[in-house]
Amino acid sequence: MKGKLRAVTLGCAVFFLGLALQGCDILRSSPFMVSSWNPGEGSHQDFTGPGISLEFSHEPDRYSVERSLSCTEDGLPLSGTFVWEGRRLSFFPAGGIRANRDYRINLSTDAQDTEGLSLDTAFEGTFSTRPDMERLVLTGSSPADGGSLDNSGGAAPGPCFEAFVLNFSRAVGPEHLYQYVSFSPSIRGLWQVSSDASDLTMARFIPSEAWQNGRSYICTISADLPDKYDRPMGRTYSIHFTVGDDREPPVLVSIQALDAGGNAVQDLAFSDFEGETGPSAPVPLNEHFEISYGLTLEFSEPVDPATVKNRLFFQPALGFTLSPPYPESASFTVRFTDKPVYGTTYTLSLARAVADGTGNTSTRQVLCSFLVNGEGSKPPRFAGIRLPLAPGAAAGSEDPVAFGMDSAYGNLAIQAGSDQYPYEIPTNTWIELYFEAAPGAGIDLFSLMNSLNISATNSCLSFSPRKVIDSGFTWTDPEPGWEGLVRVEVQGLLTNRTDAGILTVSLSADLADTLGNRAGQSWSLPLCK
Amino acid sequence: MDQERPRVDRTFCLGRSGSDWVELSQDLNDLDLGQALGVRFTKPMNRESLLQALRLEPSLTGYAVQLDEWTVVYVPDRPPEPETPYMLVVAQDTRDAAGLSLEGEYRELFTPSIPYLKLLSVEADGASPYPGPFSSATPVPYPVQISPPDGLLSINLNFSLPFTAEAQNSLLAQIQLSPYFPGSLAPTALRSAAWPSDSTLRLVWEGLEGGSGGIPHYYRITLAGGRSGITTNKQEGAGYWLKESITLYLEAQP
Repeated sequence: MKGKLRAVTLGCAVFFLGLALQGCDILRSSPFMVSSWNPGEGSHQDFTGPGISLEFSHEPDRYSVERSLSCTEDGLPLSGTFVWEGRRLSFFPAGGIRANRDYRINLSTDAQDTEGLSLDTAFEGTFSTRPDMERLVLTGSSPADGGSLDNSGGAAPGPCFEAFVLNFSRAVGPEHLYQYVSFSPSIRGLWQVSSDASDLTMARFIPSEAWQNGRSYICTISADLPDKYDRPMGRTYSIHFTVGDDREPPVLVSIQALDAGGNAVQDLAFSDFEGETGPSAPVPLNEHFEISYGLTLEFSEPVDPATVKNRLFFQPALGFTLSPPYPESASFTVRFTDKPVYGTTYTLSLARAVADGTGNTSTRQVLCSFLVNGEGSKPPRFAGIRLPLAPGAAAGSEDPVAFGMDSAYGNLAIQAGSDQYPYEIPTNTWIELYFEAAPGAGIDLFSLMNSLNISATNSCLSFSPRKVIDSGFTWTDPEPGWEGLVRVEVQGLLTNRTDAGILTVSLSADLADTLGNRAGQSWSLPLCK
Repeated sequence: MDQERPRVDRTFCLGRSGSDWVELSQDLNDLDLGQALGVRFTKPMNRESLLQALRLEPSLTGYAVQLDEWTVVYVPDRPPEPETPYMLVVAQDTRDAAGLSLEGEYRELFTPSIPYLKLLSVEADGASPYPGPFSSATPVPYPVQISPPDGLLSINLNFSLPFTAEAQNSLLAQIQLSPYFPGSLAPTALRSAAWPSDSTLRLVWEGLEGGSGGIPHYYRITLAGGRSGITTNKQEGAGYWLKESITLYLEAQP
C-alpha cells in the first residue's frame, strides 16, 4: 500500500513539473529567433527588393517585432511598411532598395513570439547593393609624393601648365574631386577623368593658371572622397611635390646710361637689397646725367617686360617707355617721356617680383640715384649786361659799363650828353647780354626776343629793342673776364628822361639755348639810374 | 575628354558696314581710324570670359563685342595714338566653353597705320617753298615778301592729308599769325582764305610790315596741334591731327 501511494505521488509530481516547465521560457527546447532573411549578408549588386524579409522560428508577436525592428541605409534610418505572411515579415523601405547603398537591419531582443518568448539574441543583418565591399584607394599620382612637376620633356621654356594626375583603385566622379581634393597654395583648374571607358580611375587636374615655379605644393585628398558607388574613401592622402627645376630668380646686373644715339656712356652704381629695411648703405649718387639720356637695364636672364614696367618707378615722377615691350628680354631700354629737370636728383626704384619665363621672381629691390647735371644739359643762365654810356662817341670811346648778376642796384650812370643819351631823344644803342650755357650751345634768339623785358620805374627811361644778334657785334671783344660766356647783342632805341628810377633787365624762364635746354627760371637785374 | 586648351587663332582689323563689323585686314598694323581689333580663337569660348579678354598697352579704353563663339572684337573709345606701338594682350585666364584657359597670356605688338597729319611745306608768294623742319629746337625764320601798300602776305600751307569741307571751315580758328619782334609791330588781320585743293590752304593777311634799315621784322604763325587742335575731319574720332603745335617764324621783307 505504501509503495502504491509513492508511485501515485511521483506521477503527480512529474505531471505538475511538466506543466510548470511548459510555462517557463528558460526551459524551452527551441529558442525564438530569425531563422532566415533575404537578401542575406554580403554584396547584392542586383538586389532591388522591393522588400527585406525575415523568417521567424516561432509564430512572432507582430506588434513587438515591428516595434523592435530598425533599418538603415548608409547609416540613415529608413521608414517603410510591414507586410506579414505567417512567420514571414517583409519590410518595404519607403524609397525602395537603391543601388550603391549599404543597408543594415536590426531586431532587438524586445521582439517576442506569440507565447511571450523573447528573441533569443538580437539580430543584425547587413548587405550592400554596391558591387563589393572594398574601399576606394589612391594607387598612385604623378608626380609621386616628394616628386617634381616639370614641363613636358623637362626642357620646354615658359610657365608650367602640366597636368597633375591621381590614380584610384576605382572610378571617381570629377564633381567630387572639386570638393574633396585641394591644393596648397591654391590653384584654379579643371578636373577631368579619363575618357577611356576601361580606365575611369585616372583623374587629371589641368591648371587654369601656371604652377608657380619653384614652389612646393601639397595636394590633399579628403577621406570623404566617395567612389563612384558613393562610398567614402575613409582615409586622407597628402602628396607633396614641387614645380620646375629652375629656382634661380632673375637679378638686375647692371644699369647703364644711354645717350640720345643709344650708345652706352656710363655705368650707374646702384644698391640692391632684400627685405623691407632698405639698403644697408646710402644709395650711390651718379652724376653727370644728361637730360637727353636714357637707361639700359640688364638682367641675369630674360624677364617679362610687363613685370619690369609695373615695378619700375622714378622719384620724382618721370614718365618713360620701356622697350622691348614684348617678348621676354634680358636687356631693356628706358626712354623718358617727361624731360628730366636739370639739377634734380632722381631715384630709380625697381621693386621685387620681376618674373622670368618660368615664374621665378626677383627677390631684391634696386635703388639707383642719378643727378641730372651733365654739361650738355646745363640750362642758359643770365650772367650780366654791358652797355655803352656814350653810344654816340667815336669807336673805342663809348665808355662801356658792365653789371654782373651780383651788381644788383648798381649805379647806371646814364648822362644826357650829346654823345650819350640826351633827354627825350630816342638814341640808338645796344645792350650786350651775357649767359653761361652748355658747351657748344648758343642762345635761341627767338626765345630771347620773347623772354627779354627791359622796364623802368618812374619813367626814368625806356628801351625799345629792335634787333637781336649773336654775331657781328658792335664791340668786337667781350667784356674782360666774360670771354667764356655766350654773348647776345640787343640793339634798340633808348630814350632818357630827367627823372631817376630803377631800370630792370629781366628774362623769363622761357629762355632756351640752341640745344633745346630751357632756362627754367627767370632772372632780374635791377639797376639804379 | 577635351583637354586641348584654346589658342588665339588669328587677329585682324575690322570696320563698320552699317551695323555690322566686317574684316578689313589680317594685319593689325593696318589698323586705321574708326576701326576695331578682332581676335579669333581656335575653340568656342566662354562668353563672359571673352568679353573681358582683351586690353591694349599703352592703355586704350574701349569695349568688347562678341562676334561669334570664336571671335571677339575690341572697339577703342578713341583712335590709337598715331605712329605708336601698341601691345594687344589676351588675358591668360580667358576660358573656352569647357572652362579651359589659354596656356599663357597672348601678346602681339603692332603699330597702327594711322599717320599724324603733317605740314609738308609752307610757300609764300614770291618766296621759295619752305619744307621745314617745323619742330626744330632752333627755329629758322622763313623770309617772306610783303606786298605794299596793305602789307599783304599770301601764303600756302600744304598738308599731308585732305580735309573735309567741315574741317576746312573750322580750321581758320586754329591758325594764328601775330607780330613777334620788335614789339612795335602793328597787329595783323586775315583778309582771305581759300582751299586750292583739299590739302592746301591759302591764307592772305594784311597789315604786315617788312623790315628795313637792317632791322628785321618777325611774325609768328602757330598751328594748333594735338587731338584738340587741327583735324582733317570734325566727326569725332575720324580726323587725323598734328602731333604737336607748330610755330613758324617769318622774317618779313619789303
